[in-house]
Amino acid sequence: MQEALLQLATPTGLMLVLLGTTLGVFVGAIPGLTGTMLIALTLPLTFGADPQYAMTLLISIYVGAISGGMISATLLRMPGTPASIVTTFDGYPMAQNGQPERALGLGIMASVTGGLISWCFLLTLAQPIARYSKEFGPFDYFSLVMMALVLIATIGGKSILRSLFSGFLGILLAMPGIAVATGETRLTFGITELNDGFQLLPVLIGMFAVNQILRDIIDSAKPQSTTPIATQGLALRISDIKNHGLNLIRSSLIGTWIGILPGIGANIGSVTAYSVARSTSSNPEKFGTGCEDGIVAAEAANNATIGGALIPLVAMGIPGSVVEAVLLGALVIHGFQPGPRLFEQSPELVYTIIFTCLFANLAMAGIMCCSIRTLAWLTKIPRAFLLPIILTFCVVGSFAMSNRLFDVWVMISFGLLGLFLETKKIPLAPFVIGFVLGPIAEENLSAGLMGSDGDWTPIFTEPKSLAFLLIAVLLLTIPVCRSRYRDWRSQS
Amino acid sequence: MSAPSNKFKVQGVLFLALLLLTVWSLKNRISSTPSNQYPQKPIQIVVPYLAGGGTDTFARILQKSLNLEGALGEEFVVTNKDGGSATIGSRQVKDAPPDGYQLLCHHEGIIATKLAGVVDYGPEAFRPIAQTGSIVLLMVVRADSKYRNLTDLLREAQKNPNTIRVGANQGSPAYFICEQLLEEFPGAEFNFISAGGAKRYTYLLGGKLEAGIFSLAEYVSFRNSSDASAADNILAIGNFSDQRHPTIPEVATSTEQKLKTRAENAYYIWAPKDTPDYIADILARTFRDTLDSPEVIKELQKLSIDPTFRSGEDLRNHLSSRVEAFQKLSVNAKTELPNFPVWIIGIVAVLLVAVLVFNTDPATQEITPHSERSYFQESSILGATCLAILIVYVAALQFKIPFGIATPLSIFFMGLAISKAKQKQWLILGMIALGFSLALEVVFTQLFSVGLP
Repeated sequence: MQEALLQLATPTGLMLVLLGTTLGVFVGAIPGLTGTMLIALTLPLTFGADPQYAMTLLISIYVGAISGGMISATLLRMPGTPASIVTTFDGYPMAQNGQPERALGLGIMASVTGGLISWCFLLTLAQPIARYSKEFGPFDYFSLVMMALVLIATIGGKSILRSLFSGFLGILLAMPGIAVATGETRLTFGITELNDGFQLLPVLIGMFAVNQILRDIIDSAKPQSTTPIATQGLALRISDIKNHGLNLIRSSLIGTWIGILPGIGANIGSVTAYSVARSTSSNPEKFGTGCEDGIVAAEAANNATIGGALIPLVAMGIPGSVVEAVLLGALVIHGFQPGPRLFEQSPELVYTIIFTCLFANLAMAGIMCCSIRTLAWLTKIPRAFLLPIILTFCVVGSFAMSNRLFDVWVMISFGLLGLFLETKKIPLAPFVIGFVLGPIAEENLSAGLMGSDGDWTPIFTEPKSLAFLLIAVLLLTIPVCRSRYRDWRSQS
Repeated sequence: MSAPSNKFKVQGVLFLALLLLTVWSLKNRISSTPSNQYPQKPIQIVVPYLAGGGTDTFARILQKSLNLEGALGEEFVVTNKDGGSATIGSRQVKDAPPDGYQLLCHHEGIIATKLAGVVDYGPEAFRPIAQTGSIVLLMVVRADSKYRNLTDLLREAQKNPNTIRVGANQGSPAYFICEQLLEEFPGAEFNFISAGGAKRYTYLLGGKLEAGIFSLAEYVSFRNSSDASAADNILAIGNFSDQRHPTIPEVATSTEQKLKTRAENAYYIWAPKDTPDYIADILARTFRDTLDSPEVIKELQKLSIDPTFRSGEDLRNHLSSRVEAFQKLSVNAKTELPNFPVWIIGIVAVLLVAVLVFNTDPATQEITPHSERSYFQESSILGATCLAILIVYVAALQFKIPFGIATPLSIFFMGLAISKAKQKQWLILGMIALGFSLALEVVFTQLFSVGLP
């Protein structure tokens, strides 16, 4: 442990943390570019480097990018990853109401707290916690995904019916391509490029960024109604810690705990935490209009999923997300054997990973706090300069992910679809979450049904699976019951 | 009045400088002298999986050594084109010009995807250049399992068909091995559960699977230390290659266990079908030399890949015997799964009708700024213009107009449209457009060696 710390504390080590985090924040904040892409592109550059330094750089990028996603989500309503969609719910309205600095400040505070809490678990309890991830069977995963879908439908819009429609439309559009369970191609209509289905990145960029850019362009023809930016310094007060303390800790724990589950965690950690925050809030109707609790819950959980997702990676060699699959590959290329014995075979590497996570979180906080002023100024750049550049980033980003223009066309089409859906008052967040989780739900349901010989009852008889369904029902009904109760009390 | 005009001059000079830089970078790209020698430009090795996967790691080890030795005087570049069970990348190379500048690095999954009906082409659509390594495959159970060898497992599958849960995706090489095994024990059936990669491992430990096929590399990395409790560890009970492997000498081969099933997977280098002989020969020789280098042998050993090499006639015979082995087996789904697309389409349709019928959303009562009539027309024309510029831009890229020309033009015109062609912004816009696209191009092509359209 000391060795890892000593190597990290050298000027080179700290430089790499700073460089990686800055790059990550920067790239994560640009709509169209993502941390995954930057890590995949940087990986070959690190082959010649010392493996510990290589991992330091890559993990710093990872931490920076997840946090950077908050910036574009808050200021421009263009989330860079599915995980930061939830941040747009309250961050964007707040920034639009003239408080971009406060919104960002709260987000940074929550991100750091989330990162640090999950880091504590990563450091102390990685081994025992990782074991619990293997207890999850296919039906448990399926119910967890269904829970997340129901939750997003309740928090993403005003009408549950429209949200559900949007979610299932997302699931449907994730279906073309090769079926996970059977390996058959379906719904491709003979278009060979569709063999791989629609990719997440172009769909996400299209739905949010391209749609939002077109909307901004259309709006720019109208007389500008610029809201003055409130200047209140960093906009954080000591009392914030007291007011949001409970929410911070709860959301971080939820993020860590869900982040541990491979393949799902990063996407639904923030959805779940947001939903819990809303259900337990005394004024849930404020969520979605620029509510502080909403930003805090989303960002704390968001960053907590990183620490959570690193737990199975270092303890068992199981990647929790696409980024981590790339990190795992980096380990292999540098001659390590990720797996249950990584801890005993190369402890110095494991501790490098763990402590980088800590340092990168701190570096991220520093960088973001310093640049918050400049960032808020972003909203003032003339649109004629800003929008075409963001659009070009989107085109290049969609293209570079797998080097084909087909993805760029997909991006444009989904941009138009997003614009259409929003003018029909259909929320987009359930669509994207459905798009991401649909295939996971199908894969696990198929695996479960194969194991049970086509029997569906284990969904309700497996304890964990049942628990998730109950939590979903609970979170759905609590807000309704509470408002009924309040009505009843005010009447009597 | 001199201050603004000076500012104007500075901007003008900057703009011209950027313009010159752009022209210069374009000229560099176009002016390459043609001649008949191979190779004259970097050779792409397409990996049909994500960066960091098994195939990618393998290709990058070869790439590193190829470039260190500088065998052909040109760089080898690894490009990842993942997706579609590796068919996105394989199709690209299949349809590439047969000039030896695009190669595919892929294993026997290429046979399986054809037989499983994912695509209509297999190895026959390519010119195989070389086999560059073989992967040992193992049958693995949890360490406290009662099955200690392949026969135990298969007897049980024969006695109680469909009770042994085995993790394998339908149509994958692992699936074909299991089918081969089952044929040796009439009436035996496995319950196949689709679970790939790391999931197969967690399910095995969690008792959700009885057995699964792992590559030696996976087995070595997932194996826990011997003093870990048996419920936390995995155990190989059969090796499907011809002889025991030095890394795990205790695991008996299937032949030793009196079974006929034999299987291994291997990495091959493929080129487009009509690649000329002389290019194929040059490439085969280069890969053979690389596989001989002690550095590569050492690296591959860490991955538990054996550096076996085949090329020419030997390789063709080997491949056709592999295809035959696969072909004998049929892919058929064992469990009736619900028809998911139909279900989802149904649900979406029902919800759509519901949304249309109950169109009494509270949101409709809100007065949105969108409905401001007077600006409506102007703003939608502007939106349509920008969309048109975007579409023309991407179409231009599709028709191979260089990135360095199309991008600044599109940024410039779009900015012009949005700013309603205010003259004082022209120069700044031009500078932003040129500077930005130059910077993007440098970052992507020089730093990350990713080709832009």
